[in-house]
Amino acid sequence: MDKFRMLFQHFQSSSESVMNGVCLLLAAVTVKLYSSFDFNCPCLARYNALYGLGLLLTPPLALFLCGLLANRQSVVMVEEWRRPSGQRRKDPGVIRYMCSSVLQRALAAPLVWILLALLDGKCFVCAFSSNVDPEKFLDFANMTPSQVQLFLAKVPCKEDELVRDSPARKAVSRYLRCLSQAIGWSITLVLIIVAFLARCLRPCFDQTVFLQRRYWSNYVDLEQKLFDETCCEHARDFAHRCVLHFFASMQSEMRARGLRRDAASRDPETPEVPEPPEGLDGGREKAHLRSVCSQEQVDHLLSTWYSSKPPLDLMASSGLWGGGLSHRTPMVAPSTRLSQHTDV
Amino acid sequence: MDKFRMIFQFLQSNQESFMNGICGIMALASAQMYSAFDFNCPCLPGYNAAYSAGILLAPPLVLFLLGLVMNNNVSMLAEEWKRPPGRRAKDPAVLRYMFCSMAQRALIAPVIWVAVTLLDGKCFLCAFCTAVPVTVLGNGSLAPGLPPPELARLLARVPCPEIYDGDWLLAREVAVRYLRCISQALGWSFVLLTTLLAFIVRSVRPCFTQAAFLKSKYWSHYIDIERKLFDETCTEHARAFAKVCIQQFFEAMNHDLELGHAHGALAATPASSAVPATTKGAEEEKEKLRGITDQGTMNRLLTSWHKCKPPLRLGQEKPLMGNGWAAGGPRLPRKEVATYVSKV
Repeated sequence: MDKFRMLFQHFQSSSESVMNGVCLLLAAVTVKLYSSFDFNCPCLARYNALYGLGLLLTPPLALFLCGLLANRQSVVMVEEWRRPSGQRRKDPGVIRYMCSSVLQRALAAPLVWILLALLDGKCFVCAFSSNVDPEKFLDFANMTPSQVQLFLAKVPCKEDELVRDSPARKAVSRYLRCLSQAIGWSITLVLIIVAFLARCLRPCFDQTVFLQRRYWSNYVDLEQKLFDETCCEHARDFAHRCVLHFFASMQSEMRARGLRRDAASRDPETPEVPEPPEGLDGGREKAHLRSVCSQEQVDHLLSTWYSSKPPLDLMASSGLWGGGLSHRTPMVAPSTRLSQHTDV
Repeated sequence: MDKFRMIFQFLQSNQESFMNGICGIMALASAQMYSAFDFNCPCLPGYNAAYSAGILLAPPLVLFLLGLVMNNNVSMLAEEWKRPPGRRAKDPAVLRYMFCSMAQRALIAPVIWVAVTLLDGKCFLCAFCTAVPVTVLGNGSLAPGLPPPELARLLARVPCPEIYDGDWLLAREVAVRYLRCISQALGWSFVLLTTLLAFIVRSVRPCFTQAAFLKSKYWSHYIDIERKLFDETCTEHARAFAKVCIQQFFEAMNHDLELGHAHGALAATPASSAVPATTKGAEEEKEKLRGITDQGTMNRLLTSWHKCKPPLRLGQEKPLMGNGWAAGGPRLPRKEVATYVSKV
């Protein structure tokens, strides 16, 4: 159980492992979907090709879009692409890296569907049965061209009266399935060779640039996650303070009412101002979230995060490593600060 | 540190067993794929041999390349091969060992496919049905009377029971039994040969260069673990960087807002009750950064990791980069010199 937990943590540790997991899951779902789908060729001259090709190409498109949706990094990439530069320069190489990794993972499920469909053969037989050359098969010598076309259109349907138990149908069906499987295996071979070459030859080109891009794309992803977590934390604190404030104000209002009612019968007493609950909570709250305590300020914080991300230089932007606020020099306005970058 | 050790143990203990596990899964997948695959002999004279050869050879190639692609060590091998020597010499024996061990594991699934295909017999039957000795197995007297193309067309349909029409020449069952028997004999011979080869390689190897083999094995494991740990450390660093960056962003926002409230109550707040300069959490994060606090330095670190890997010798104190950043080696205790000043 412990090892399972460690394994789970290991796969959760980097965003790449999570994405690989999602990709594999989607591929498994595709296999299940294909095997449970009830293929139903119309066996009519013009509709066959439409149905066959539609079934070969439409589900992969849908699966591709699902793959993009399921991948968190696609949103992160688009955000990184569209954000204003602000204090942090944008690196097109990192965006390209993220884009290519998202696309690669999203393409896995559609390719699984297409390959399964081709290796199974039903789609191909349905789509191209009318396009077979009758000369190849001797059994069509005695039929007129229109009869041949009708026959060929019905080849995918084994149970149809016209073609049931016909050796010609079986021959054509066999031929098409064999062609479909050959195409399927060829595509698989080509893809796997391309993947293998890409994996082997990548270190031969720009390995240092690749390492940098991988690091910074991982960083962007982590930063987004951590920012969301920090915002959640802040929202919780905000809500906590808000609610306590409300109760405290309700309490003081009731006391004030109670005192006024008794004012006629009693000497006015100095109303006790209850200890603000914040004083008790102050130690527990994150101190750096203290000042952000209104809707406008939160909105301002969030829009600043979007329009002007802080530079990737902790020493220059901090000033807090060594001492408290009182020791800080007055802050330079963000727009004039230049970020330090050295391109290696 | 404890978590790091757990991860390290996990990676080390499972490095071999992980790859063995993948290898076993692929072998099972190969057998399963064969049984799920619908073999579909075209039963046409020119196409039979091509189809069968394709089914016998293309999937094993795909499985072999897939086995290599799924093995992370392929890119590690390519990296190690292409990197500049820097301060660490490259050992070709280690590279050879890595390649051999990867290739051996990747060969298992293809061997299983070929063995299962031969033992099943359909592929062999499809390929060689036109080469059956009709004169021996069937009605030998009728065979010479047939033109060769007609004979070929007839015999090509042997694998397809529903369209075979040559019972007058050669009983289909006879031909099928004959070819399946040869196929199974070949299959078992193949299995025996590969097992014998594997056994010989495994038992005879310790007789040759065992010491060199142990060294290559150690350093190949070392390179693999080092790369994984480097990736882990980079991810940890990125996480700490992001945390500190976001923290500083919020603190900067906090500071801005407090300056804005200069006439408000918050201005009276003593500095000590504002952001605590160093909390325990901030200290930990700072340590995790290991002094790398900006984008330029991180990029230099990643470049230097590829271009100039550190030597395999621990305990170095010399700075590796001009700005004084040193690898995590232990520092020698400084000699303290006491100077006595006489007051006389």
